[in-house]
Amino acid sequence: MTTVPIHDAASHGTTKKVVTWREYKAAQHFRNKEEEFDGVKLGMWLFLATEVLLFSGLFCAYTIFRLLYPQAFANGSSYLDWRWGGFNTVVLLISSYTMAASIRWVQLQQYARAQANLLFTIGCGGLFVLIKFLFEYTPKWSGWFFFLDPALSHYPDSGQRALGGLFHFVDGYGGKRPGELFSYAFSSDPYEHLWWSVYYSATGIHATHVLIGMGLIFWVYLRVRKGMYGPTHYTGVEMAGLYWHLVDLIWIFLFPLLYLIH
Amino acid sequence: MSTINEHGQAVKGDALVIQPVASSFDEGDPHGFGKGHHHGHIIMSATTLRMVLVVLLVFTVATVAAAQFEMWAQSFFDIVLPRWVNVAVALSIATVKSALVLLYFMQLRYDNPINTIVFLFTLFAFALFLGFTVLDLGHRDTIYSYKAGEVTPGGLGLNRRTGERNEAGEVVTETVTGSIVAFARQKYLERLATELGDMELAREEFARREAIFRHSHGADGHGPSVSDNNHSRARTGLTPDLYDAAPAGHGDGHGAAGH
Amino acid sequence: MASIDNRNANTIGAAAGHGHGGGHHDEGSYLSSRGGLIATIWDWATTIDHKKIGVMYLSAVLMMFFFGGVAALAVRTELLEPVRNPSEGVVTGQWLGSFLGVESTNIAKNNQHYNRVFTLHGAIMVFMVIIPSVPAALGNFFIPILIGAKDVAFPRLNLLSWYIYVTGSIFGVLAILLGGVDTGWTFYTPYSTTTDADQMRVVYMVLAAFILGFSSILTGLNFVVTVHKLRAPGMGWFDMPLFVWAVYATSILQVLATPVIGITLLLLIFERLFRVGIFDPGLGGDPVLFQHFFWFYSHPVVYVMILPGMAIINEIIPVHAHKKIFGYRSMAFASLGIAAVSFLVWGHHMFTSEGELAATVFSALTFLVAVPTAVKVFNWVGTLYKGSISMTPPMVYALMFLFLFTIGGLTGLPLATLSTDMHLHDSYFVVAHFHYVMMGGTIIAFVGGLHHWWPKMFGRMYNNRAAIIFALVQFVGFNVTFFTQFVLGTRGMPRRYASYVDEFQLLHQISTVGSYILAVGFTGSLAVFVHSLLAGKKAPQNPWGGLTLEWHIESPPTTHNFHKEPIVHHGPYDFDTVLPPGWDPEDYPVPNAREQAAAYARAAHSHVGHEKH
Repeated sequence: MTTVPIHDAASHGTTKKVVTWREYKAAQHFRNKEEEFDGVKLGMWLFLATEVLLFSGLFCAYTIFRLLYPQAFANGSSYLDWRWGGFNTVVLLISSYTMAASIRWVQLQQYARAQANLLFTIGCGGLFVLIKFLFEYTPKWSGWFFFLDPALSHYPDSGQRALGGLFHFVDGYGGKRPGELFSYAFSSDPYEHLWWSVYYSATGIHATHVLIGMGLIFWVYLRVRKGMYGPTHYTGVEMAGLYWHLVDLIWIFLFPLLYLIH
Repeated sequence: MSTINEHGQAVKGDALVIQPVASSFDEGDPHGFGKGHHHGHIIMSATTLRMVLVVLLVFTVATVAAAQFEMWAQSFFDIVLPRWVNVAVALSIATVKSALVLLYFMQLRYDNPINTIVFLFTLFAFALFLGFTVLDLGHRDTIYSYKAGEVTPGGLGLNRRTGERNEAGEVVTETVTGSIVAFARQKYLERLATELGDMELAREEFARREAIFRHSHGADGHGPSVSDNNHSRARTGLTPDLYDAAPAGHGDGHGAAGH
Repeated sequence: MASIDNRNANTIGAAAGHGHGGGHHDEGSYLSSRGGLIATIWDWATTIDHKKIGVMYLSAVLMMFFFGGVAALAVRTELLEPVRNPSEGVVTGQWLGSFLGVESTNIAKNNQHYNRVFTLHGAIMVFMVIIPSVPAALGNFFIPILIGAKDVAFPRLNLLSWYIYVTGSIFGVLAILLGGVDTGWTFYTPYSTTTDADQMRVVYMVLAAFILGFSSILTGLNFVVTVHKLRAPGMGWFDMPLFVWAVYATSILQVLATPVIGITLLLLIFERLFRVGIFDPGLGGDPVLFQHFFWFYSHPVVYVMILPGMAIINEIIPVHAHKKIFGYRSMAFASLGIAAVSFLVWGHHMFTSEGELAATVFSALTFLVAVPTAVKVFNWVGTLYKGSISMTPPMVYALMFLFLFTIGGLTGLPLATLSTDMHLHDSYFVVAHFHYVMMGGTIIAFVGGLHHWWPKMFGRMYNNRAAIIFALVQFVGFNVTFFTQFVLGTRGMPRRYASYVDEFQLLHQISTVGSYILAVGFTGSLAVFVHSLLAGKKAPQNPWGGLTLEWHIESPPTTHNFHKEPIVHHGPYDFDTVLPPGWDPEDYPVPNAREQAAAYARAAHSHVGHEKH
């Protein structure tokens, strides 16, 4: 697409030369690359609109069920640890900052810094998902705690271990699952399984978006490394950034709604 | 909109705006149609970005602190705040935070206004969606009060798939009457009874474990709190008349009695 | 100023007078093949030319229309006779059972066949035919040309959305091949969560609708950016053809409404696979919540279906009446108004299931829809008034649309009225109403648009007389089929039933006969098009005398549409001041063509080459 084959004398074959930002011309149906950039950005914002409305269904389900069954939601929220949620919020906010910074570095042609920032952003996304799965989903779903989980000390040890002692089992803690799969014995409101349905749907779809965003940023990182972006052409970085900020935006609302209500 | 700084560069707020040089007359665009549509490339200043991050982190701390404070005030001083306070505080802070992300990280402040319009339309559609749905499902009883009743708290029951298959390869199901929450209690108690060989012992063990998980809510971040009829809060006790301390007998505890 | 005018003359002249070339690089028609069969197939499969993608959509949509139509005929054939006692030898669904290769005399089983076939009809027609028909097929082909662009804003995304459409359709067909789905096209819970619980077909069908939604979103997004960014110099917002306005409004709806069906269907898949319970009353969920989710999308989508139909009529009527459209701005704003109102009225699909408060509010709001819609109908009629009407096939379709759509719209009013809807809800009255709007409106407009642009798309004329005759056959068949259903509905025939009481039999039989007439009409139209492709006369540049940009270029267009970036000097419907480009009245003798041409020449004499008015 943006590569043109040229003859490479050294390797005696055709290789693909990367079009750098200096050589980048707009696609033939746009007037110039500023128009193209604006158009792509508008397209991206329309796509973000669809993302917001995708999550609107989950927020709507949340609102309705919280309105109808407030106690179930208050109880459900109390099973979540705001410290993990808060930590993950901070992780995402910082990653949003590094993402914005990487656009700035690309514009200023500081490519090493831009790449470092992009990798750091991907790392933050990974940390977010890791915490979500290791310290939140797994124990609540199954009762298996990661051995470093500080919450372990609050519960009696059942003595069961898995994966060479990496995971400890706490009998009775697990089973906080959505809908039909629900099997936690110590709930006190008859609608608590609905809380978990909303919780897993919302955070699960959000976590999927984090993973997609990480992939997108990695793709952009590779292109930055090839020198395809510069002060007047950095469309890909900007678009990946917008996507990443939106994922952050959704979490900014999910965090208080899920972790801080009572 | 933008002004010129001391280096002769166009700035808008504190962001640098790079405008492509436009000739006075563009032959391919005699109506000036293409002009004024793009807003150049914006380079955010590093200070702005850092300041925004710091403010966002401060607001994150604030929202957690507000929630903790509300709970502490309630449990320590028995100040019962109206339910909407919690929601209003949390969502106001979240709105401010998201506005900062939108305006600075996503550059809406410096950008072509069309993108802001797109986003506002999205929020408008969302508001309609939420508003009308709540108008219906939150007010089923406005005209006929009997329409607010519920048949069985926690659901009508279902054939729950156990996740196993029998010899014929068919999915094995078990019948859940009423709430699956009550069903889960019953199943756990029955498991304990099988392990311990005695129902009475199982009830005692159940109550003991229940106390552990109730009181360890502190480990999950929330302190113990009380609840009353007008106020919804995380509860360590049971819904009155809904269950006994441990389920009594076989499944007769999860009726709608008194609810 | 002189240079601008030269440029204009050059652009228009190159296209009009000299055909190919005109000093520019030698481009062939977009249809001309490059290389052998394999190369041609590969060229089409990887094309990013909006015209080829439009044609690919068109063929896919027509194929799906055929399948959906066969299902409709099966439904109508089944309803020739009501259920009989098995001992009498004929039971409901037996005919359908043998059609599907599973014969049985078990009434319940056979009723299920009926349910599956009408679900098949509904799901195919809505998701795979009507929604993509005009925007994705004709819109893809003509939106860039109408605004003077070389292509849509994101050509690769455009190709991707075609492949997504195909993938979605394959999932839909897979669900059908595995035995079909009997939930109805609306997938209401708890039907959709409980029927065939251990089977994957419902999941496949829901997944199909989910994937098709993606295709719809990407197409809509593409068009919005195209309209914003790629209009030719001189084409301001109010110089755009009204087709573009209506498709623009449609695209906004697609972008804002479709994601909600995305999350709804995703939750429905979760519901089926994991029983998360959000919609399942067995787990304390709320099935009415599903209906809200579903109709928040599916009501706007009703306008995604009808707005492009109106878009086509906007083009056909002024061109074939050779008259400036009446109330251009009100037409443009009516399109946006319909789009806006569509988000406020979804609850009128749920009058019997939602609470009374919401039903009252939704009923009051629903009447708002009538305002912009009526503005449009009045404007069309106002355009026809004292126009110089050529009874060409597209015009016949436009008049059919006016007649049928008005009936469809007016019968919407008793359905919007809460008290009457309580009686008519889920009856054949509703079925007849939405068929008048969706089929009499959108499909008829789509076929009319196909007749209007066929010469431009494929460079061939068709037999006008045959086209008009088959249009009339469709008109008769349509009314015989569906007008009887209004009567059936008011008498109490509920929809989605495989059987009925004996006194309805005559009306049902008339309706079935009507559907066969309709089938003959559509088959005839297909034959007209096939004949045109094989033996049609070569189409001139501007057979009907239109003024919009597609009539400034060759039939069929070259790969890049325009040899030079066009500069727009006149409005899309300035028939009073501008001579239609490249139009030779001898090419296509309309009744008063000569007089019209003379009048144009007189009027245009003092205007050509000047600024737009």
